[in-house]
Amino acid sequence: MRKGVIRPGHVQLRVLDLEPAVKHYTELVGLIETHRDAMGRVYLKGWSDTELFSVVLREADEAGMDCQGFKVRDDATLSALGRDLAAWGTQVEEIAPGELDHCGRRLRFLSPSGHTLELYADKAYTGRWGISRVEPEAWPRGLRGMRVQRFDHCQLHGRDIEATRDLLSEVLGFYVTEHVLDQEGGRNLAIFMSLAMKAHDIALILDERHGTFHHAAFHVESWESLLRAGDLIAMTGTSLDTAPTRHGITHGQTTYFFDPSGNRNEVFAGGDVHYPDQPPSVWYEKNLGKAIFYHHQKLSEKFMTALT
Amino acid sequence: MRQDWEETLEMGAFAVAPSGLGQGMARAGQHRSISCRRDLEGRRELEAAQAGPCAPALATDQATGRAVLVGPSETLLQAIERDNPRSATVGCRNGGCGVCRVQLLSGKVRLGKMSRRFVTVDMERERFALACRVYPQGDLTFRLAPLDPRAL
Repeated sequence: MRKGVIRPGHVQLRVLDLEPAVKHYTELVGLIETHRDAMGRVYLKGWSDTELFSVVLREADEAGMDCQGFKVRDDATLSALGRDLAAWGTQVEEIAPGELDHCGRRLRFLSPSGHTLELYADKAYTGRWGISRVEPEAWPRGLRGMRVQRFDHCQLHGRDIEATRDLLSEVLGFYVTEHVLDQEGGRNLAIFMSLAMKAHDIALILDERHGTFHHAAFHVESWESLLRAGDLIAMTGTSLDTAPTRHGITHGQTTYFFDPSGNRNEVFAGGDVHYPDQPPSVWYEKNLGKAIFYHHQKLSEKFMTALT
Repeated sequence: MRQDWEETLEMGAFAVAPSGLGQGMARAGQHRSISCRRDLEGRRELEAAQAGPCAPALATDQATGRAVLVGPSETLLQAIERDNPRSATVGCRNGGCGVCRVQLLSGKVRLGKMSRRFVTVDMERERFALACRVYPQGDLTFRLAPLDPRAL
């Protein structure tokens, strides 16, 4: 947060058929549909997300991620960061207010890893869904499916992840929480970055398939919630990637599955806390299996190959 | 545009399985669903009798000669994954990632929606498809045409 970027704000995903996607994200994942715009896009949020939306679904002829947005402190900070991005050598495009309903102007740029990222300062603040700001209850009743709390992070694949790390850290104030090196003092194969104390707000993986999308993650409360997520995946016949287990990196608990258009979702619980004064944890390529899946210590083929 | 997705691809005559058949069948013995072509055809006739007009189809990988039986409402990929649960051909199973891309060499199919990133309109004319979105309408042959995982 040292540069005024506060947290992940939204992700816009492309889906092949809108209504099956809405059903997946609401009835199975447990997001709440909050809005539809004139373009036909559907806006959703996790119950503890405080703004009107954190996920946008857009029907398109290919799957994948359109963009991920991060919230900044205020409009003056947004302008200053726009100048800093340009000075770093990044082309910055201003998206007019209202291009996404209920969202102010956004500054959009292409990361060296080939992803469209954007910053915004204003979005309709609706508070957590179903509970009051005053003496809030523990959780709202009427949640569905996996009852996810919030949009948590994305994992993005591409070339030049070290340049992306430099941009995100020097200009936007992210810091590295963990990384995977090919050897001692070697090249970064994976970089996990945070804006505050979370284990990661963005994950970058070195991959020749430039500008591709690995997953969007949603946070749940506990291991018990993950077991329930695994049960729901089984009972709905949802395409499973990885059954509930633990990550080495972040030590978070996880399960992976696919939406009806093949975009990977993660449901994630726990995870380490990183204060900004902590040096990054290091993993080596030779133990990559354990770094990713701490228990069975093997990477499955489709975890590495299936990207949108 | 939408009807493009639903169109039935008329393909050439069923190709004779290449000489790799014996090798494929030897491995096939390990799996409960397949033992030899004669068994498959016998089972297909039985299932056809039970299923009425929607008969299961025999799908043959041209490179290996290995054949899998695809049930009436199944996709080609479901049959491939049942035959080999660890198949590298299995990705998202939902038309998005391109890992299960095949080229159909013969046979009639119905197609579901596929990400245009991996099967463009031109490629679809050349009978490329994602196996997770291929509903065989009769016996077919195919070859795997996966993405090179290092290039996109």
